Amino acid sequence: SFMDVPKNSADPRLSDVKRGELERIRKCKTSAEVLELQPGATASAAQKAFFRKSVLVHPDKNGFPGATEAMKILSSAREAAEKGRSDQRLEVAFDVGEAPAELPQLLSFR
Amino acid sequence: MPDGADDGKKSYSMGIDLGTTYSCVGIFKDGEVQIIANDQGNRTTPSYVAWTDKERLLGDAAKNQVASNPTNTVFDAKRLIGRTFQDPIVQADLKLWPFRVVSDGSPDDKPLIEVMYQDVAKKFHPEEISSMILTKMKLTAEAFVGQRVRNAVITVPAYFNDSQRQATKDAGEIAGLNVLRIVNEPTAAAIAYGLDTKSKEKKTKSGEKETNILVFDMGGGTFDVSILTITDTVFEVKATAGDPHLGGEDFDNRMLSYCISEFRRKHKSDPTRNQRAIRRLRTQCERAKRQLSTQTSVTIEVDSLHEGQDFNLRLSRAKFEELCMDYFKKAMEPVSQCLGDSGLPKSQISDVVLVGGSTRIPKVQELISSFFNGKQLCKEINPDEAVAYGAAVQAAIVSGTGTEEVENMLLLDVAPLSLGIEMAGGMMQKLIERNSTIPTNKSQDFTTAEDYQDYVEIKVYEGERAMVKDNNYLGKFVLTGIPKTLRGVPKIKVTFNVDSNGILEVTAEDMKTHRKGEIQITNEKGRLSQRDIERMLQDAEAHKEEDDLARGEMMARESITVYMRRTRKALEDIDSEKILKRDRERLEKKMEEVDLWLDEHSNKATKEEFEAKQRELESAMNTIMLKINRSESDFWEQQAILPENEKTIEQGGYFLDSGLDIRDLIEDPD
Repeated sequence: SFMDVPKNSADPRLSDVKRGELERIRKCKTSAEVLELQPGATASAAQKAFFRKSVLVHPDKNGFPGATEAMKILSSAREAAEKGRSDQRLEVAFDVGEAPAELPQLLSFR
Repeated sequence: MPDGADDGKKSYSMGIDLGTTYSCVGIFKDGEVQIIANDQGNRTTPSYVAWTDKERLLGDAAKNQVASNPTNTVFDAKRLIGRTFQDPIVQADLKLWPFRVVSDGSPDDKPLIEVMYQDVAKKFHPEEISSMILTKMKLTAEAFVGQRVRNAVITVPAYFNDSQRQATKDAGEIAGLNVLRIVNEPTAAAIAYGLDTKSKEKKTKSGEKETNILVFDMGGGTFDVSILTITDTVFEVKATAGDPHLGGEDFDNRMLSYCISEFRRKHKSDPTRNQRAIRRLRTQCERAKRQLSTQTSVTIEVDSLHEGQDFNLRLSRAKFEELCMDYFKKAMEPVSQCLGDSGLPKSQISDVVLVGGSTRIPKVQELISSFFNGKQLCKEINPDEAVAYGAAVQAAIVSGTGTEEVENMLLLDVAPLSLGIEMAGGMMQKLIERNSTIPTNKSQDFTTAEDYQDYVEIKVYEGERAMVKDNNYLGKFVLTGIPKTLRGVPKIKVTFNVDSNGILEVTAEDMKTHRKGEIQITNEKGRLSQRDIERMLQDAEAHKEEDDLARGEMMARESITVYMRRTRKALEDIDSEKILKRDRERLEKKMEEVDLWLDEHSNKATKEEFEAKQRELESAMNTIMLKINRSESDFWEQQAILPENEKTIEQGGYFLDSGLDIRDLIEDPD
């Protein structure tokens, strides 16, 4: 028998905030936009922003199909920003995707 | 995940530290990690499997009988996993193992472990041996939570290469586990450290405080160093380095060689070929090594070691250190490499965390401390359990079964080795540098080396050396249909994709025709094919039936033995006037008969035979009990006053002295 999986909306990995963050990144053109950095932000500010965003985007924390691609973009953005190239154009192309019916790890038998 | 109101149906995910010499399992339950003791009451289980004439033994049971059954007791599977038979490390280890290892004879040259079981030679892949240990850990966890546990995070040394990781994952599959993630051991240990420190610093406000730590993880067989940055709830691996073949066993072997040479010198005879002698001596060496962490000298003693000669040797800590000094010094190299890779100066490392049993060695501690200019080392966390602890937390994170505290934690791990492809001339072109945070992808454009070349072969490697021949080959594929033209004109885009499990996928695309070729580095060289895995899974399940059968027999035997004791006690307690002399004699005769039967059959009877015998005895007993006046102080009635859930078997209930419910053991948990 399946366990009582909480409805997807209750799974924090599929919250509106998580979906929203992927939607936001999808529309970004530069590393600074991805990380929401001020012009002339330091490397340390870039790292902090990266960590803040990671918690929302990393596939361990975000159950939408696009999470892995978004995380890769986030890493690239950080790399560029730490090298002081946060205004360079970043290739951003991925789909957020639909929330899976059930996250695989929660699909368990008694 | 809502908090644990729905406990009955909660599914658990476990974290398993699959060690070279010992393994450990933890589970996140009721808001905290529980490290689980096995059926022997030990929180770590020897990574040993043995075959006797009658059965397969796992863990403590296997290790305890090693001296009497050295050739059929297998350990160190982790030193074989994901390697080829001809690997120099395997060839060197071979000489020290009492069990037989052979090549499978295929072009892949996989090693096989050969044991004798019921007079038949059986061969096992290292993955199968590891799967048996994983099964043991799984059973330990299941006994603790009282339900089936399939989801697992398994740890590997950070410096394990792709083949070794994949093989470990295969071992999990063979054990019937759903492997959620393969996690690096030092990273897991860092989680344990982070949670421990966090809980102690609750009062400090949760600002974005940044801490850099170095995890020094030296266990029984492998050695890892990782540097992590902990910022609030995010654990980021900065760099990792290590030696996949350096640990406590190497020190044991050094001591063993020294002892053998001392024995040779004193007695002019060589015990090297005497497997039993070597095993007994090795056990004593291991023990002496442990003692030397707290004492300055020990005596290694083995009675009648070889050809009737006793062995006796006084060994000082200084001598032990001298024997192993090159190993200890070798361990400092990855420390400086890791530090260099992280780009952090020594002064920025705020804590050095010790993990793994071998970090108890005073000299090892002294060397690290002096490397960090006399720094105080962190010994707060349990070196034997930290990895399993962290793995259990990570299992809770990725399965969403944790608490709020765990909910916010994130682990950012890295690819431990650079990944690249072979270029003309056998050069390695790296696409992903080691210590890149995963998941990640990198692309690079390549072109043809010859005029009119219409295909390219993409060969994928991992490693740091300049020439691919010195690195680890992972797989290859061919991209065909490139329009024929002069060399240097075609544009071929190669993309490396690494997901959060560290699984690599490589694609190549001709930018003119958009033809694509790709490979997922999974079933490649040295790895088991999917068919192999399925066969082994079936074998393991067949074995499970065999094991269950043996367990069923054992329980039935236990049950009838207990019933005998119970009957005897009842007979003593019954007032002599209440029972006819003839009845008593009849029952006593019956019991004597069963006793004799047990003496003769207890080693070969089936579960059904035991049960039939017990029923015979029960019916004899019941006939008599019916006759006895129930109003008098009846033994059975007295027992009935006890609540059902507190009755031991002796009292007519279901509980063994150990507190185990006998029904759980007999009934199939599925």
